[in-house]
This record gives sequence, structure tokens and C-alpha cells, in this order.
Amino acid sequence: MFRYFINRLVLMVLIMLIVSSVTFFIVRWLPGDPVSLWVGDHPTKDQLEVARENLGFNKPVYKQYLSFLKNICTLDLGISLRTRQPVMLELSNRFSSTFELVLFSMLIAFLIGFPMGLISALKINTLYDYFIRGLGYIGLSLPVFWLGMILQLIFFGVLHWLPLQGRYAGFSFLDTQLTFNSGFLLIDSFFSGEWSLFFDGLKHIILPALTMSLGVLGVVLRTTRSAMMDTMNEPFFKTYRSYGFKHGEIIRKSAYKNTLVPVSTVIGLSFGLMLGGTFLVESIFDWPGLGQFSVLSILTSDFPAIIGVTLLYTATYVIINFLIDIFYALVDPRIHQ
Amino acid sequence: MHLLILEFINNMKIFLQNLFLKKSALSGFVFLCGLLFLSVFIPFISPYEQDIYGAVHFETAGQPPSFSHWFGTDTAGRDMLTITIRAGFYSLKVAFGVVFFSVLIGVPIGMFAGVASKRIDEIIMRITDGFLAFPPLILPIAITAALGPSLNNVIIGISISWFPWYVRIARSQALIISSLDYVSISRSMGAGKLHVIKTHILPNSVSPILTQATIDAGYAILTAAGISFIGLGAQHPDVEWGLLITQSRAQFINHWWEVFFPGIFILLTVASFNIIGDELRNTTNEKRLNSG
Repeated sequence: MFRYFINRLVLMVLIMLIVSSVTFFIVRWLPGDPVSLWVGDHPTKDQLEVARENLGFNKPVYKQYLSFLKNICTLDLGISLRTRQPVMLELSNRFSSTFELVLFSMLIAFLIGFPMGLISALKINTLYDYFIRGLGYIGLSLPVFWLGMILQLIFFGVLHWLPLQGRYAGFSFLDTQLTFNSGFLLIDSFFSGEWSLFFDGLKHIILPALTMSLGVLGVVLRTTRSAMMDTMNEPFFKTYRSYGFKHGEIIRKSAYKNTLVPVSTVIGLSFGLMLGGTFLVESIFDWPGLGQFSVLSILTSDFPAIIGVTLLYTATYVIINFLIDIFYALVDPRIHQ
Repeated sequence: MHLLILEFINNMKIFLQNLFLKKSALSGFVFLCGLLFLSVFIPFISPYEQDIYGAVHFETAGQPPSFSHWFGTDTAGRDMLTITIRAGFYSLKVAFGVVFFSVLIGVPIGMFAGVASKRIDEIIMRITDGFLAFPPLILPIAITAALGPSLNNVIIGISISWFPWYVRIARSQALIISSLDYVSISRSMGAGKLHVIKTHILPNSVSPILTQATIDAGYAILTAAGISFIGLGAQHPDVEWGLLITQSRAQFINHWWEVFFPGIFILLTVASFNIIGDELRNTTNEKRLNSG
């Protein structure tokens, strides 16, 4: 077991190294001069030279690469050329809001998708099953930005139930002091007892979270359904059946565990997918998260910021997969051996 | 070589036969063919063919769906039905382009990795792992941004990000098939690696690759629409579904039709590819179960 973890750890570091290197070189290939971003409009030649010297863009690429690797090892991601803040600070400010959104939508997708998928496997080829399968296809094939706009149209434009965009109604809460500070708005306001802020945040997160959850909902539905159908063909299930237990009873008491491994794999994989895919949702709902930051960084060729964002995404993805492997071992003791 | 072509035609025949057994897959196929046909010939059918090339009619701007404009008109007064259908042509182009290039790059590398020595295989697989560890959408966006915004560059960007999936499929297929008895016998009789790839591995890999390609074609459309949505994909006089939606962002709360119809077309097209791909996978699985 211990050797397995060490192996995984080495692999994680290796993947991070490859990703950061590939990003480093792709970024060097982007059009637009990063230095001009730094010096602003209408610079003189001298200003450009000085900035290039200071930022180290005048050195040969391999030297830049070496110093980049050295900085990465000390977790120094440099300074964003666009916002002039340390990239690390920018990322930590935005990470929590994106993570909160992704977690919330993951929760929706799992809480709805898992039971629906189980029932769908029980009632195979009924009208309900067809409906669930249709929903799965729709979830997989919907463009998220379109779904977000349609939801805005319905819940803001027609019904006036939910706010259009943002994370909370900014001006109403300028004076609100939170005693609890984790960066997750819902948790902070909940534990600080700021109920109006909590419910405002909840109102704001529903639409973007719903938008993002539908894609994962489709995946969770399909995976649960097919895993449950496989389980129902296994000898232990048939044995229980022959003892006279009902389908639903077997699933509730024991068989649902067999679907947890494939479903958790899928959730882990879609976690990465969601983290990377938030920028469309974030730009529609004006959510102050990583997605917007990364797209703006790419569009303005802000080198340090792009590399930082990519590394953060990849690290999250790799770590989540690592955690899921541990979860496997807990759920299914056979993997443990 | 002619044997290979015969094998391929035979595979295609089985593929189409299987496909038409299932109603859902058939309806997806009919939808895609209809879309292709209409989007190619829409300039000759529609009375508003000028709108495809970016005509502006302010006198008809922002009209809701009516008899003369079934899908309404956008802010420039273009007929939404005409440009939405026409946009299908560009989206299908993206779908086929991405799949074509990904298969073209990925499959040979994967098959080579499958029959090559262990060390070379290891190197190739670690490099593809690196590609796959990228957050999705970030790599295609970065590559497209590097090449400059255009639909063709979107195709290149997505292909470069997705070809590693085909490396994996082709490699695993190569590994499975080269471990079969008849292949090792053929090798012991002096068959070279190239011969094994050509006569044994390639013909047997057609159906898993085709399945993946069908599903990916749909996702390519979805991804390209997302990239166009942030402004890096198709550019103005061209029409593309993601672009049409982003062009209406400022007024969509009041003009629902400008956003609704392009989105529905994305949904239907991607779902069609998904359903066909799923049926393909099911039929190949059934075949494998029956024979094994």
C-alpha cells in the first residue's frame, strides 16, 4: 500500500512537470508581446527595453525555462502582467468562489442523478426509463452557455424569481463583517450568522450551479444506470432474489455499494471537467472565479497568470483523482489488496 | 492494399446495417443528413440568401418569429432560420475536421506505440498523459489564441488537444490484437511490424475508433461553439451557432428567439452524434459477446 502511494505521488509530480512545461512553451508561442501589457499604451523604446530586462524576457528561452522551473519549486508563480498582483494571490482569491460553485453543482448532480439512475435501472424499458435516458442525452449534448442564458431568461426575465448574475448583491452587504473567513461565501455567512447574506448568496448560486450540474447529471445518470444493471446480473443479486427479497430492498441494503466505484470515478473525472469548463458559466453569470481570470489571461497573453491557472487546475484534478483512489480502497476492500 | 479497402467496405456495411436496426440511431442519422443537405443548399432555397454573407436590414431588425421569418430576425435584421441552418454547415465542418485530424495523428502513433519496444511505448504514453492532464477547453483555447481566432484554427486547436485519446484507443487495440495467437504465429513466420499493423490491427480497430470518432464529432461541435462564444472561433460575416448566440447576448432577455434556435440546433446535432455513437458501441459489444 505504501509503495502504491509513493508511486502515485511520483506520477503526480511528473504530470505536473509535463503540463507546466508544455504550457510554458505554448505560452511563448502566443501572439502579442507580454511586455507591452506591462508598460501600458504608447511606451517608448527605452521603457520596453527596461521592462524586458526586468521581467527577464530578453534571455534565451531555455534560461527562462530553467529559472521558471526553479521558481515553481518554491511555489513562486510570479506577478500577473495584467493585474500586477502576485499570481498566487489572484488565484487564491478566485479559487474559493469557483470551487464553491463546482462543489454545489456537483452536489446537485449527485443527489438527483444517483437515485434517478438507480430507479431507472429497476424500471428498465418503461416510460420512466426512456425519460431518464433522454435526460441523460440532453445533459450531455447541451451547450452550457446556452442553458445558462435560457435559465436566466426564464427565472430572471419571465418569472423574476432569481437574480441575473453575480455572487451576491454587492452594495447591500458592503458593511457586513464576517467573523468566519474561509473564502466560501455560503459557509462564511452561515457560520457568521449573516442570514440575509447567506440567502442572497444561495439565490445567486442556484442558476449557475444548475447550469453546470446538468452535464454531470447526464454522466452520473448513465453511469449509475449501467453499473446497477451490471450488478443486477451478478450471482449474489440473483441469490438474494431467489431468497425472496425485493429488488428495491436488495439495492437499498447492499447492491448500491457496487455502483459507488464507477460513479465516484465519473464524479472525479467530471470534477476536472467542470473546473476547466467553468469559464463559460462564469462569464454568463459574471461569477468572480478562475474561469474568467484564465480566459482574460489567455486573451491578453499574460504569461505568468496562464501558467499559474493551468497548474492550479491540473493540481486540483490530479489531487482529486488521488483522493478518489483512496476512496476506492475504502469502498471496495478488494482493491486494497 | 485492396484487401484493406475490401475489409473497410465490409465493416462499413455492417456498421450501416446495425445502425438502421435501431430507430433512435436512424432518426439521428436522418437529422444529420438533412442538416448537411439543407445547410449546403440553403443559399438556393432561402429568399434571404444575402443574410448568409452578412447583409444588414435595419428595417426588419429584432422581429419575433412570424410567417415571413419563422425563427425571427436578429439585431442586424438577418433571417434567423436561414443563418441558423447555414451555421450547421460550419459546425459539421468542425466535427469532421476535428475527427479527421485527430484520427490521422493519433491512430498511427498509437499503433506504433503498441508494437514498438517497451521504452518507446512508455515515452509516448507519458507524453499523451501530459496532454490529457490539461484542463479541458484550456488547451484548445490557448492553441487557438496562439494561432489567431478563426474557425480553421479552432479545428487545429481541438485536434491537437484530442488526438491523445486516439493514441490510447489505437494502442490498446494494437496490444490486444498482437497478443492473439494467429498474430504471434504470423510474426513467427517472419511478418514484419508494418505487415501486422496493416493486415491484423488496422482492420480490427475500425469499429472502436469509429465509435469514439462519432461521439467526439458531437463534442467537437460543442467545444467549438464554446470557443466561438468567447470570441476566438468563427468571425463575423461567417455564421456559427456559438457565434450567433454570443452576438445576441446584449438583448437576449427581450429577444429570446435569437438565442433559442441556434442552441436547439446545437443540442439536436450533438445528441444525434451521441445516440449514433452509443448504438454503435452497443452493437459492437453485442457482437463481441456473441462471438466470445
